[in-house]
Amino acid sequence: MFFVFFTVVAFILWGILLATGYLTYLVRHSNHRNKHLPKKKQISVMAVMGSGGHTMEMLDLIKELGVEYTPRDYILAETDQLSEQKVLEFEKLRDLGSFTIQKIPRSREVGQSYLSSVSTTTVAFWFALKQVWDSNPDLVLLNGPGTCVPIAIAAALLDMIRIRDTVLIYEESICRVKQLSLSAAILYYSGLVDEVVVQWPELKSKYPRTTLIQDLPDVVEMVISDSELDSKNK
Amino acid sequence: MLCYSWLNFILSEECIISLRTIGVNRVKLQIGKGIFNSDVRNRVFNGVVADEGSGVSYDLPVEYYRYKPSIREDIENSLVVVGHCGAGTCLEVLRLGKPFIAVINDTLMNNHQEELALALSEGLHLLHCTPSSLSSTLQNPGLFTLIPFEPPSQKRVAALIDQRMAVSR
Repeated sequence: MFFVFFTVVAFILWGILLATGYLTYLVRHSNHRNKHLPKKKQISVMAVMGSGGHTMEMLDLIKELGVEYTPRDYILAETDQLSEQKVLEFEKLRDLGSFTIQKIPRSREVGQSYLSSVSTTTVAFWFALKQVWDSNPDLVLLNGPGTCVPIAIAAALLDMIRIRDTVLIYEESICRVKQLSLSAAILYYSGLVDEVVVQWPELKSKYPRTTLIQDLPDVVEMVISDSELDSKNK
Repeated sequence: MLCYSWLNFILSEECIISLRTIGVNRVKLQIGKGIFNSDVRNRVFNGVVADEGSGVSYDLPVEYYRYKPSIREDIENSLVVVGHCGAGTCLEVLRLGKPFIAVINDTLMNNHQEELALALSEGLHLLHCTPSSLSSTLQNPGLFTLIPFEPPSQKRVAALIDQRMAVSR
């Protein structure tokens, strides 16, 4: 009798604890958070790379990040040779700060049975947790492939139990016009990511908590043309 | 110019006439895993199809190859590009500023790859059609007055990240 009583109470307490952890996570990752973040000189970045187009889009974004964003850890699927090559090429050209390339197993191959995908997903999640722990990122950039969900959950979990502070940004591919991809939808509805950036107005109206890239303030670049330089020199 | 599936359509008499009308004097095809039907094989290529080769269809020279590491050069040298509406292809062709016709494969309806092609055609950045309307689309005067497409700048996202990470510039 006592045993049953304590089991029930323990379950309820655990439930309350987890719910509180999750809710405080959501509050901490709301829009006003940046005011409380300590200013850092260096921001370690973890970028989860997909294949083909996703990799190119991610590199387009990383190209625009400033010198503070170092070191960068690129997470690749084990089987993805092409993306590795692209990343190496990109970093060689850019030559800014330090970077590493990490490989994790794919969470699910096409055509895999449901039962075996449970075990591979568990393995993938374990790897993701270990990877996030080792890399200790301040910023996690995600943009689409299935591998990004375990990473996002792992990073959010470590943040939830307050041993890490991590900002998660998901950018949806330009290919998505009407509907979020499955990974984006999971992260959007669970609220695990700080921002979901979308590139088409239709998505913004369908998923109101996303951020439309066209709504963000335009960055005015200081462009000094040659003629202006000449006149200044005179 | 290049195309992927529905290869046999573009080599039909109707399409070749349209191509000539708009000033095309050579057709280049990236065929991937595509297969020519027996009519085209015999009429254009004298019955021989390998990984690359050439032929003549209704007096228009035709060249084909299966894959190339980069088709950028071929796109740059073309007057008009016809292709499937895969996102990668659309974006690459539009970045190079070429008039583009995306052919929507009837059998692949509701494929999310098509979303982008349809959205881009709504913004008049490209034209889309089905294999059977390809010939008339080639003669559409809108083909050469399409609006250049600028993808949104990633600088905006970088600025958002700066703000989130409390980095000031």
